[in-house]
Amino acid sequence: MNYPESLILIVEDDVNDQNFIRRAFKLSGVLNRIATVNDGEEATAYLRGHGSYVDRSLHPLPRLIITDIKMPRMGGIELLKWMNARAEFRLIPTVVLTSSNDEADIVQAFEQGVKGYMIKPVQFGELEKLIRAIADYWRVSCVPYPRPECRPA
Amino acid sequence: MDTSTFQLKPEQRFQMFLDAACDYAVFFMDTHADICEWSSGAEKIFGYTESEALQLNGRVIFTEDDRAGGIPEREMEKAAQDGQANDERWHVRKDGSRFFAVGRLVALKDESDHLYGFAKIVRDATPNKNLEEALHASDQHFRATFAQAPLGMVLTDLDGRIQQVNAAFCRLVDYGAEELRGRELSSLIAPEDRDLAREKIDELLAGEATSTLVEKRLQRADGTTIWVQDSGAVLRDSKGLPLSFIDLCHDVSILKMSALEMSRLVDQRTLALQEKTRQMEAFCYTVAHDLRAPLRAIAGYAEFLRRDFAAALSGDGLAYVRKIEASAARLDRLISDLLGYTRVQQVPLIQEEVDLTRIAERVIEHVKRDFDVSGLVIELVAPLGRARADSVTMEHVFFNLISNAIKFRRAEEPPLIRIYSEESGDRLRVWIEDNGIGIDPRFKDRVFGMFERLHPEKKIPGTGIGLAIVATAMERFGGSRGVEPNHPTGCRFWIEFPKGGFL
Repeated sequence: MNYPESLILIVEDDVNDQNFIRRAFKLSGVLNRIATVNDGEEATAYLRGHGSYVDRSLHPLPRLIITDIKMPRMGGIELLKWMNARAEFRLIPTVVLTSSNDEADIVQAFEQGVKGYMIKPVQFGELEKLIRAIADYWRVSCVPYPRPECRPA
Repeated sequence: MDTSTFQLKPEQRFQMFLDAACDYAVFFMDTHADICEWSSGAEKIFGYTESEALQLNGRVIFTEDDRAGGIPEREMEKAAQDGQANDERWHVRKDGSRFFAVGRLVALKDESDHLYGFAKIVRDATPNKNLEEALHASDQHFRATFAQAPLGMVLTDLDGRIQQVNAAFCRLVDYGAEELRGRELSSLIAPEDRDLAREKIDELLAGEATSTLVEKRLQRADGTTIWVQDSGAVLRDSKGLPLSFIDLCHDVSILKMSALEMSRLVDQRTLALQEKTRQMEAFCYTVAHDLRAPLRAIAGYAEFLRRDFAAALSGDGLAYVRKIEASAARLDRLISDLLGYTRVQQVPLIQEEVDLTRIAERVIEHVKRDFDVSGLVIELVAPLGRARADSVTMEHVFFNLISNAIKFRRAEEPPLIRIYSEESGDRLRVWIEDNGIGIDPRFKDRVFGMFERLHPEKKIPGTGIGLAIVATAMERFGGSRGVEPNHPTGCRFWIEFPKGGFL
């Protein structure tokens, strides 16, 4: 995914975790823009270009989504279901990064086609390793470009 | 034959009659009741010889009570008036013994109807009397039984009308015996049970059953309902034709009510307990997850401080940061174990055939990586056997038991852990034996409790959850666990799988 112009969307309600993930990406040498939203509902607004996300040039569609599971208003599983029901978002690779190791969550996430499921480590050093692994993987992987109708105007 | 030769004198004839009637006491008395003639039968029955009797007054044969009550006089008066008087009562023999006499006192009168004496004829009717009394007593006994039985009894005719009830039945339904007589028994049965009662009567009449036993409701006079256990039977004559029904009713309301109430109560409590357990588990799970978020923040920012501002921090400052990180790490372990525990409790276990040897091998490898303890020896006596369990959970169980054995090692000697199994009867037992510090036998049951720690955290790290996970997991597999505190030194933990639980 060597597309420096593409964006990584972090869906995470914990501001500290948002910071850690951002920092871990930076430390992993990822230079892509990183956008954060606070829950699933904000993520759908971002993806549809609603409200404050109306300007696609400022808020392009992400090439990778990192999402939490347990979030207020709309959780990660619901977000995945919502995306799968829409052809324009179905192909965006999504990785779960959560504190939940609940088997039911893992199964549901994979049923919704997630590309990975990671448990948030407590030690930042561990998180850094994990994010580096994600970054390394997606750096070498091809990803479908967002469909033309969804491209920024 | 010339009958004339048989002509006897009236005196002779009478004497012969008296002698022949030896089972009858016959004697004559004057108007004062003084005895003036005494037959051999009288001697036999009363015991007095003729010469003795002739000195006596006829009152002597009456009981003391009768004499005091003026019975002899009344008898004589009646005989004088009516010509005779029945004499059916207890009399007394010479020896003082009593017998029941049946006889008659006959007034002797001359042609001018003048009373000149009495004749008494009695026989000993004691055997009859005894029989009669026995019958009477027996009858009384049965009546009393019916009347006083603590069980409600009701006799009904073939039309179902009440013939007789006892006091207990009256008490059951709170009606008087007279109110009930003639009333249809079915009118006392709660409408919802009438069909059942009818069925049972039909079964009895058809001879399908000699007796029936049903629990049904009866309506009391005050409108309330009681539960009775009713044993019914049909009474038949010698030809087998039904005569009437008897029902024995036992009040089971209390039993019935408490059984109903108890099951309701048990249901309620079980539900409440399940709900509470569920809430507790959900709470535990949520807390464990939500605790992690700020914990990550603490650990993360502490690390940032250490990495980015090490130069700005003094030696103490850096030490504090390290303490924050260490505390965060400990809290993380605690949360991990809590999650492990709730997982063992909550997650539906996959019961599959697992190879305990392989699981133990995997765990030993893991443990050896985690614990950097010099001289550590873990001896696995393969094979341990196979069991029906959940492999992930069994890994937790082995991990906790083995790491426990390592943590509670003696300072002076390297830990030696031996894992082996034995099959005894219907159980497979796996032993985890160590040469550690052992356990005070007083606490051998407490060690399996949640958050039970026998040593301060500073001395031996741990969360007090590991063995609780072992206990809960083994419980869920239908097995058990235990510990021999000091065998021979250190301790020997065991886990056991029940029959059918291992393969």
